[in-house]
Amino acid sequence: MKALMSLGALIGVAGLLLLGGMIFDVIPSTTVRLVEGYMPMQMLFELTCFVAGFAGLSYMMSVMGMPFPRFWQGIGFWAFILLYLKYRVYPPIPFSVRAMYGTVSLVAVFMWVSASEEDWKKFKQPIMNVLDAQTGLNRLLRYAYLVILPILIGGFSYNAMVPKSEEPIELRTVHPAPPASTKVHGKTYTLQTSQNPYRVNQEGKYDQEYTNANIVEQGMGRLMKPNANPWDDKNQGYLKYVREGGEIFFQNCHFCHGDNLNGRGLHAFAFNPIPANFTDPGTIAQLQETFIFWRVSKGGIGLPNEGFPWASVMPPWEQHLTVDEIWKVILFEYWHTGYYPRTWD
Amino acid sequence: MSALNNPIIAVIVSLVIAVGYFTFVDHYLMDMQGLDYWYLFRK
Amino acid sequence: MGLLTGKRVFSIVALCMMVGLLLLPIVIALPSPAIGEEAPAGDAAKKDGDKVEKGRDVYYKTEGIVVGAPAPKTTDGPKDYPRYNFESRVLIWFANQQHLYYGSFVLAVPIFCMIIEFMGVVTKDKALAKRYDQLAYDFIKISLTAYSLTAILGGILIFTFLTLYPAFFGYLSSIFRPVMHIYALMFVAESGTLYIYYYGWDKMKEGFLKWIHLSMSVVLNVIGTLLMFLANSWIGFMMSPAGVDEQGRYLGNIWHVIHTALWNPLNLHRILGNMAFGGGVVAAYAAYKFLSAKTDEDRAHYDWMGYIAMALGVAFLIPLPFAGYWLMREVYAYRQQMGITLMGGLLAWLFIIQATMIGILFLSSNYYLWQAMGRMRGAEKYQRYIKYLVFLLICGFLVFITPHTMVMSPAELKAMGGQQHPVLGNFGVMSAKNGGINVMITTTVLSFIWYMRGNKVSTVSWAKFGNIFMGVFFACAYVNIIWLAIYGYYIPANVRVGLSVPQVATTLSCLFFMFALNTVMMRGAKQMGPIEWGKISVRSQYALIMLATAFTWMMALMGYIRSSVRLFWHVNEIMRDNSPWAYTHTVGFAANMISFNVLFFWISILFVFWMGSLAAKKAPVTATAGIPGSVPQPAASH
Repeated sequence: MKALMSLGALIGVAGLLLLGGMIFDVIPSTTVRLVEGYMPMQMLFELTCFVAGFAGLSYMMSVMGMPFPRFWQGIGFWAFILLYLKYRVYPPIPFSVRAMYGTVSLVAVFMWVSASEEDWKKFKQPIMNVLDAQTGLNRLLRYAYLVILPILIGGFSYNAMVPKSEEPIELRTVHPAPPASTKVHGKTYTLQTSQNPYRVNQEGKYDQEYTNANIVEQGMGRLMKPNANPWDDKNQGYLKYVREGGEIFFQNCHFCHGDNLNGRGLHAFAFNPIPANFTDPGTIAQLQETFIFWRVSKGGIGLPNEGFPWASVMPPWEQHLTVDEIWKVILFEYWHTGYYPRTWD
Repeated sequence: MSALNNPIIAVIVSLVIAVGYFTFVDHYLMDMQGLDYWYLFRK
Repeated sequence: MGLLTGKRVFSIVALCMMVGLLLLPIVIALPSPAIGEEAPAGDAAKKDGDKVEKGRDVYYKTEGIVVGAPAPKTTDGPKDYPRYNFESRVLIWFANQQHLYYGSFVLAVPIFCMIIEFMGVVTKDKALAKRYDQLAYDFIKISLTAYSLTAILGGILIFTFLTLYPAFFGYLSSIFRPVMHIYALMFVAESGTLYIYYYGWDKMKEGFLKWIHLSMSVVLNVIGTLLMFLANSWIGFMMSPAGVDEQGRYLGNIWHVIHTALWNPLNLHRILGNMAFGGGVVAAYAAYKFLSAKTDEDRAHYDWMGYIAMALGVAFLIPLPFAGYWLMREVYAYRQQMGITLMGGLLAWLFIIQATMIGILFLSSNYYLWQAMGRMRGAEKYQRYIKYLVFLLICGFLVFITPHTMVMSPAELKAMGGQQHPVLGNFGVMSAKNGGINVMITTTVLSFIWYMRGNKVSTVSWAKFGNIFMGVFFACAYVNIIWLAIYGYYIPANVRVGLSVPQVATTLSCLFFMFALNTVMMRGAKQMGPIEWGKISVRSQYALIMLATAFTWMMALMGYIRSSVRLFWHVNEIMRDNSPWAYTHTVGFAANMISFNVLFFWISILFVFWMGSLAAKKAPVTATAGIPGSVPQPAASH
């Protein structure tokens, strides 16, 4: 047990030192890299290591005769979470999310310190000491709180209410509900049932499995099959359509959506909201092709109000492309990112 | 029966039962929906 | 059972006649709606060779003879939307929500009574059996006043509909005419059964008559559940209409209009929700009585009551997310657009709020259980592991509430380099969220099991193996849930959606198998110390009140979501809402209205409880007097 706890303590101390370095900007946040593709689990894993570390640390300290008071443990842990979220995770997490996480952590700390009656008594002791103010130091602290707390509260309130010149936060719905049907170039398409006419197999029939087998491998960017090269002149059917879609993409779309389809095109950062990142698992990977068809055809101004149509500069491509060209571009996007369009079955 | 109470044996037997059970549950329930649980490993 | 005395025969016959009479209206009414309306259609088809107009059912796609009028095309004005100088929609919202709260309460409490009365009959410990029986009686007493309020609010609701939405309500009632009549008649059945059940309690408290009494509680609950199913059919019709053609004309098949796509998911979700909500309300009642109790005996009694209510409520809370998931899946299957509006589009933020509330529910329940362990001698061995349960719960909770699209200023957006955060964005999708909630539920199951074995030490020969097996099983369950959540990211969407089923099965396996194993292991177990009812910390009672408030708020939130997903339709895609209020309220307004409803309900139910206590003051306090002296200790089970 002691060995285990001392190992934990070591991990805890090492982690704390690293975090401290990041807070005070001595070392960059990327020192312990967040590995692409594993980041969310890595974050949870790091937090688990820290918790184990702290448990080990407090055990060792109490064994060595210097028990860490429960009160400071609680406050310390909460402060740790706030600092971890602010300084370790990169890119920076928005304040609203940190506020949510901070509140939940506070509740968690409260649940932990008040789980048993004696723990709760131990936790309350320092607070009671200050409130009872029997010793000189406590009396001083009590007076100090009497002065400082109203000032702090007043300061926070003032800060919250003073008008600022920053843009207000927006609550744009990134993924609004599509209409039941959309009319493009005179023809009406029902979004729930329409299919990409170019997602066909060698017999010319709509076939997702066939096309899904001929895409690019996610993450590595290689062809999944050696004979699935769209730039090979001999290839017909699906692969030819992918090539044609690619040509359209690079003539029209890559300026904003980027050569790697990751939303990092030339013009990307001139806009707010910035162009969609197709490599993100939250965009085309989750959507049906007809949804993309609707978005590409109708553009930003075709969005419903909750999608902030006034803010999006996505052109309504029906004004520049034919329906076939739009379907082919969508085919190319899925091919390039290696995602499958969402289906029902 | 007393052999089972030996911690190491108990852990191993429990692991075998639990891992086996959960793998079976995962496979069977995905199969029941007509989906392939072992999708990623087939690729 | 003894001799078949004349008295017994008479009571059986009387019971059957009573049930028969009560159900008679339904039995008579059933044949005609099932066949379809004959009389009015007869007029239309009287002329021979006259073309009988047919229509196609919008959902079932079957052909039927058009029987009703098309859905009215309303216009904004005093004819179709008469109004006060106030938004009519908000008035309906208020009346509807209060009616639903009280209805849910009076449906849940009889189910509690049925379970508790049954426990009272089968428990071997005589003192405990008596307490269970008295508890069931106390519950049904509370529900009586609430019952009248439900009816009053129902009346207010109908009047509000009739006066403020005459066109809509006329259309709905023209289609659901027989259903509404049966609904009204079943109220007669419900009231009759309830009054006999309540007033006959003392007379029927022993032997054979007690079983008759129990059967009555079953009948009462069947009637109550059927009532709710009928009411659900109207809502199901408004959201996912069936049995009418594209113009809204009724095609004669009453079963089709009742059995819409969302009817059964709503039914299941509402039964479970009622129980969870009812449990919460009763637990809060017990918590309040505990906090204001003057004697140790009272504290012990209300501690126990709060525990039972909370246990039953949480027992029904655990399958509730699965019922909700089924409901959402059916919504998506019915109309993908509606599904996206709910969770991906306009109403998505409300679901983040709901995620937060669900987390609060699970956190409060777990916290209560840990506090409850504090009043058991012998449960100290689990105390030091509580912080790890807190950690698991919080990680699950944080993943569960992370929104996919974050609220941020443009500066933060630039710093993030995109709309999605590379680390947290991954928590925003369903694969992670399923993992998060399943971890939370499994942890709640674990807390419950610790509580059940808190003050006991197993004495079976394979105890060590059993303990290790339970630990390993739980650990593997966590690993499996998290593994399935991670796996989901690497496979296409249609396969990923199926992963939720094994995740749920993992959680439910823990629930069923571990509970069963624990029960077997604890047979003849050595008790380290009694459960000291009444010695629970005050914080636990606040946790119960938090639980009840969270349940109430969530019910209102989900009801609002259900209503507003129809957007500008009274009946989805059939009858358009042309009132001046055919828009979706802001999230802030909705939240304020929900809070107002919650506050109003709680103030009114405090009034109901107070009235219940007025009656109690007159009756002699027989419950606690029967148990001698010190704090009662139910030895066998808790």
